[in-house]
Amino acid sequence: MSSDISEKTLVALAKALRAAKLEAIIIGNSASMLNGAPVTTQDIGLLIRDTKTNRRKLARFVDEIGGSAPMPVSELSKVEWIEGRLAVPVEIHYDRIAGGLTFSSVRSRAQVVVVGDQKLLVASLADVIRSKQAAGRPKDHAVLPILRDTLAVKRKLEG
Amino acid sequence: MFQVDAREMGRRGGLNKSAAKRAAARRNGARGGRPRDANLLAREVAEVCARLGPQLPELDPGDLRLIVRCLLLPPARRAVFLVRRKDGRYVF
Repeated sequence: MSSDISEKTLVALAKALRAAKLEAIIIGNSASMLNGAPVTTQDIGLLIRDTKTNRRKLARFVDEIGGSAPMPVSELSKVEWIEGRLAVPVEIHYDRIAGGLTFSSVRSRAQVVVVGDQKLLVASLADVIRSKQAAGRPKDHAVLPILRDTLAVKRKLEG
Repeated sequence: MFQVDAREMGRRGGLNKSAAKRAAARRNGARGGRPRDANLLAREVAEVCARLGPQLPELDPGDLRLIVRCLLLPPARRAVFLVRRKDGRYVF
């Protein structure tokens, strides 16, 4: 099955987060996929709180995935990325994401998703849509229609 | 001539505990066993799409099928990361 690499990646990610005791929420298109949207991505976005303790835990997480030191995505951005043994790089967002979404607000609507024998905290599809609408980059606009359609189908199925 | 009615034949078949029958029942899609997982998923996707299609007329039927399929899969099988290999090609 073609998703074998992806499942192993998610399990390895969850194990590393658990070993580091780092509370992180999966955001972006990785969250979209885990919410059932038929999309793909080339990285994993994580939202964490920016505290001294979490910076230490992040260093442990980096060790766990055999990763590079977190590098800023750009000079203006607080977002950092880590290249490691996982199949795809990990992007770290601190405290908030586009759309005025804070860590607490995203976490309050996030869902625990079971992957293999591990668990991951995943942002709700509505929050992913809200952040992508606010970010407004071409790649966000490209994916928004299928995310909105997926949310509509999910609501019908759950309602 | 030995005569057995259909009900009796079915009962005897159901009571058969042969190794071949036990093995077949465990094999996905084997004759005498469970239907293939792919067939079950395809049937469930079709049923859900038939139910939801009229409620979501603005949705392209192909997109609806893709979305419903993804939603019916376990989360680990929903995720597809594109991984770039050293030779520049991409794998899933």
